[in-house]
Amino acid sequence: MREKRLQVRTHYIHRIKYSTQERLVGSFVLLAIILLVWLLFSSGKSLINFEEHYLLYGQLETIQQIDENTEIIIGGLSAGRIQAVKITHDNHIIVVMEIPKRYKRLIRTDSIARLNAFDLGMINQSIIEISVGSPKQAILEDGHTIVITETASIKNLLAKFVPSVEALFATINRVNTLLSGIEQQKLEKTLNNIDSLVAAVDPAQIKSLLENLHFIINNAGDGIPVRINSIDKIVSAIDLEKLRQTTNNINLLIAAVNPDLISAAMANLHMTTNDIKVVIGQIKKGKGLVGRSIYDRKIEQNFVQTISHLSHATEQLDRLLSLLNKEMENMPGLLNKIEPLINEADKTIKATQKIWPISSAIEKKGNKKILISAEPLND
Amino acid sequence: MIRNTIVLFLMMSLLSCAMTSDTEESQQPERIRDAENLLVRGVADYSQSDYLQAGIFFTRALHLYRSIDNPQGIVLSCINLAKTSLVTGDILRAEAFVDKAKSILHSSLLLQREHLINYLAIVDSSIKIEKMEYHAAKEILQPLLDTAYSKQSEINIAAVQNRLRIAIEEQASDAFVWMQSYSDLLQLSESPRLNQNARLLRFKAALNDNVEEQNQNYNMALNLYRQAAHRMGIAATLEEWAQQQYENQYYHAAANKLRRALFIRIELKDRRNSQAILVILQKIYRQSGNRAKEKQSVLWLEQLSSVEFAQWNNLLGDYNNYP
Repeated sequence: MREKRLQVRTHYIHRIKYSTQERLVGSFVLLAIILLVWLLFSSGKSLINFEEHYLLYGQLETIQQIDENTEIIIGGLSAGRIQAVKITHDNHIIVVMEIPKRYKRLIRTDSIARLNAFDLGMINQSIIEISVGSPKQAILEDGHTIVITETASIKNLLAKFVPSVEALFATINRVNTLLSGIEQQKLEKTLNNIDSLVAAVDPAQIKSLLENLHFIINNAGDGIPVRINSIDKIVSAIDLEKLRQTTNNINLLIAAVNPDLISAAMANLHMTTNDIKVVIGQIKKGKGLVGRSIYDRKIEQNFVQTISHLSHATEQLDRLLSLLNKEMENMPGLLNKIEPLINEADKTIKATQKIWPISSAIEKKGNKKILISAEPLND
Repeated sequence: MIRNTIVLFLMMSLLSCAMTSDTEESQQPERIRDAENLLVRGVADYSQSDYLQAGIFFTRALHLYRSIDNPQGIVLSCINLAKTSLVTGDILRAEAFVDKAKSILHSSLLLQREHLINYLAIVDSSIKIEKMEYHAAKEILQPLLDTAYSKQSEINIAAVQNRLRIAIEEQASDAFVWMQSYSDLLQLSESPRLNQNARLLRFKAALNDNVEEQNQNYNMALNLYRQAAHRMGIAATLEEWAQQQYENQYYHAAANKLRRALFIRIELKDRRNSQAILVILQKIYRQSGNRAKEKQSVLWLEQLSSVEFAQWNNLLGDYNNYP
């Protein structure tokens, strides 16, 4: 009974022959090696490396961040790599693309190659995208050249805004010139004179002047003679000295104004009034958005509805902003709490970078260039 | 079970420690790292043709290295400063830095001493060429030329480049031989730069008597330099091309190129070459009978000689009086 129990407890490994043990262990080791090899070769990139390739040449006008890491995409599939970038004698840029043969039938004579360059701050990456060609067209054979069209980069797009900005600056400059034509001192003096002129006018006298005029107008129709007494009063109310001064000031004001600028301003004003006239005419006829909104009931209703929606949206935005304000108030505290965490993470990352598999992928300090290239540039 | 877990944990810790390698960087004192970073930033600016900024970084690095009496760093800073001074036309300053670096190199045992001595020889020969001391320059370059084909290093290529330049300046008969050597070395080089190919085209243009082929070579060189946004190269090509056109009496085309080159030289704060351009411009205007422009060239010559660098940009804004 005891012997039987002992027999049950014994591990099966001890019951098999020594050579069988060796075979078993060997098969485990072999299995591990096979698994490792399989993993190594099963990844997409490794497979590509062992495939048969053919070469296609792409012709470009500019190199936009193209290097050996530039991805080639054929009909959405990542396929192939850049083998080299060459400059021809006639200054064309040729990109040598290495494409796996299994994608050969996808690239036909009607395939379009496009270079998408992402040049956004730190992200400088380019992708060459080749569209799948029609099966009716001929296949592009080894050594053929395909023209790569280049999409506009962000820098190019921004450059298109430059003329508008320049026009804006030109307008600002013109306004500046117009304003600089007016002499500040003369303008100030004129304004002061106008002030003193206004102050010199006695409201009581003006009132009596207006009453007299009213009386004259009322009685003129009946042929009643004008009251000479009142005209005398009007004349006596005018201070001749001040009137002369005012005339002088007006003269100065006129002299201070540049006639060319005024004529230009008048011409602009004339054009503007003409435009306004046309616009008002259109509105009256019920044309355009404003015209239709006045005469069309439906548009009016839509307009009212839009306004109410806008008001609602503004209220919501207001609420959102107040919530955001509260959140922002909590932000400094939150940042203080996060700071030690970030520091810890930083330490951990730095420590991780020193561990073997990762450290080998990080650029060594020795690679930093501390000496300028020896090439003489002074000539 | 617990014992097994503890053993496993200890094993893992041991493995992590074994895989962890303390980098050289953490062992370096902070001051040395700071100075080295300044050199790195200076080199980056230099490669971007921002020589003024590069000079500032190299000067700061030199101060830092001097503050810790680090001869290796002082030599590196001096060499970089000599090259930066050279490209901005300040030959005297470049010479002073080369002398300083030489004296330290000969009195101390530094890392990569031989490489630094060879490098310094290139800078020294460039200075001698600028001073038209061609015989001295040739003597300096000779040891590097002897090993040019066997080593094919960047320094050897630079030596052949300078030797070819001397041959062209001296109008020597062996200029074509040196040009072939330079071309061969560039072919053998693993990755010749755009500006090296452009330089070769400029050499070809200088040695070619056919005006049409000359123009073609200059145009191609200019395009390559533009692709690399290489300010020095663009200015030098325009100047050389203008010189050829001036000699062939194409005054208008020559003046146009010189004005473009002048803008770049002023941007680079290169007083010497700016003045050289203005002298040729003055000659061109005199010969083409443009008195007003001739006067402006003289005025600009006076201004560039007297006005501080900081105010140079104000001159460029004055388009109406641009020579």
